[in-house]
Amino acid sequence: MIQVQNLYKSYGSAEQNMVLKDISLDIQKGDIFGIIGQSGVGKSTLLRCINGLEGFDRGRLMVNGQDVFRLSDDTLRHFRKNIGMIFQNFALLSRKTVFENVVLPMQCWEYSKSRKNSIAKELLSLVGLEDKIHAYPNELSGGQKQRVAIARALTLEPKILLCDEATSSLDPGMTQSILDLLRSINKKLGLTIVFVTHEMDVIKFICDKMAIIAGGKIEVSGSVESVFLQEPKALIELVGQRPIEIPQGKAVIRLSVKNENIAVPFLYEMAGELKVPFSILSAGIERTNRKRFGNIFLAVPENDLQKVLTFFNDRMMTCVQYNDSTAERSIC
Amino acid sequence: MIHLDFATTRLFEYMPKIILPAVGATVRMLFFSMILGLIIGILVAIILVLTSPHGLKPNPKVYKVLGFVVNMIRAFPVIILIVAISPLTRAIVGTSIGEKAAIVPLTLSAFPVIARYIEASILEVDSNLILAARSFGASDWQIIFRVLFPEAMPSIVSGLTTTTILFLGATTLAGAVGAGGLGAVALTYGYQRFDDAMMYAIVLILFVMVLVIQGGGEFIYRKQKEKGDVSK
Repeated sequence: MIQVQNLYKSYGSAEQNMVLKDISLDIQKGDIFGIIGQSGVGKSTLLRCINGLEGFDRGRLMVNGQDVFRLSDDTLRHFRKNIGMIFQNFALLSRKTVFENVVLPMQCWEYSKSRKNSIAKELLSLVGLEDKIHAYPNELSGGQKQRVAIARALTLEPKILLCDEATSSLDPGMTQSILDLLRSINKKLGLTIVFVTHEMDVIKFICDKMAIIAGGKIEVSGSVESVFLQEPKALIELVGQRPIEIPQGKAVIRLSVKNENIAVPFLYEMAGELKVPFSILSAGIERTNRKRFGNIFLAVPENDLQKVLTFFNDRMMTCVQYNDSTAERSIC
Repeated sequence: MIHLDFATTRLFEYMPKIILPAVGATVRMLFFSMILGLIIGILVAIILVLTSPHGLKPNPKVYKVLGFVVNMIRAFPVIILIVAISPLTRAIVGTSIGEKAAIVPLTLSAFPVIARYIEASILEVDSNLILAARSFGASDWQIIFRVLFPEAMPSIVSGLTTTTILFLGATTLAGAVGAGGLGAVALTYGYQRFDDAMMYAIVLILFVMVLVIQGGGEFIYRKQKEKGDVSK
């Protein structure tokens, strides 16, 4: 659906003005793809390249089978019909009603009046705002405004929805309801969603796949589960986790628990079978979109290390000895 | 010291003969110069908004040249402009004195002010709205007329109110150099004949006109502002 290959972008010619460096991504149809990074690392710029709001210097960007670089102004307008976009500050016209905001894109494309009405009503009921149709944006809560923006972004029946920090100005409850809505739209309409955010919870909650972007580069990309289980350096830096201290005379094991293992009493079995006195240094099971997974850090006596590693590896669970360099290793 | 001598004033005698027609002349001059100034001002504002460095179609050359012309015209005091462009005025309306002739320089000095007000109002509009409009494929014209102007409307209305009052003053000034209207009457029949009552009566009329323009402007502003204002 969206293929980015070795994309470079800079403002001006100087090397330090390079905002995107060698970006490659492959986003499949129906994915909810999260791009996370701190502010000012170029993630919004990348998003705007996808619908041609910003150009780029080098590389290839294919969206819906069209090469974005080659589009003329007029074809670009038509191309953008297939890509909806929502923003952090909602970008609604304050002096137009909810209804008028939603029909605006259709006015620009000269839809007939009856078609405009029926699409607008249908979408406003999809986002749960049928009763606010004649309200002005100022009368709505942040979450409701974002719902209007979502309805507006869907009017031209796009295949892709770009979300630029779409929940970053909402409180947690509203964030949750907007994410639920986006997920149901993704299922119902088969919409591909690209979500740019700096909030890890959003990624965990809604995305199937993710990429971490730092300093204009993609540091890590993959399924949300694999990225979290591998704990690459970029992820650790982003969530600000402190490294685990290794106790004297002990070895530390990082045991990755995937969704399919979660119901298995593996620690109980290990303790019963091997009689190894282990302790848990750190453990966290993430609950995401559809899955549960997480890493457990166990401290075991140094001479039992190999036994324990073999035990878990035999059960097809990913298990490595943890040292400081483990955290350095990144996947891709 | 203001000395209102109602015994000798010819205010009441002149009221129907001279003052009322002068009110009409002033209103006509103001009205037509504002309408023409608005038309040209909107066009210029659109070009400025389009070509500005952060505009929809950045074009530094056009923006700079137009900006320079606009600033230069604004530097001319109206009274100087009337004299300075009298050949142009004569070419357009056939004469350089009188009510019709005054409309040319008044329009010429009004449009840059109006254009700048509109430009400033449009620049106030949240730039994310432009991004959003682009994202659903709106053309530049659609962005200007369906997004920017509607959003900037309250601010444009209040700017136009101020401009209109400013140019009410300018029309009276034009009266001093042959345009007629209230300014001329106040000067020739009031000031020069030492008829203070006459002069202040005209000031009073102008004051009422200011109130009417301001009130009307505020009324339209409130109507515009009510749209989307939660505190109504």
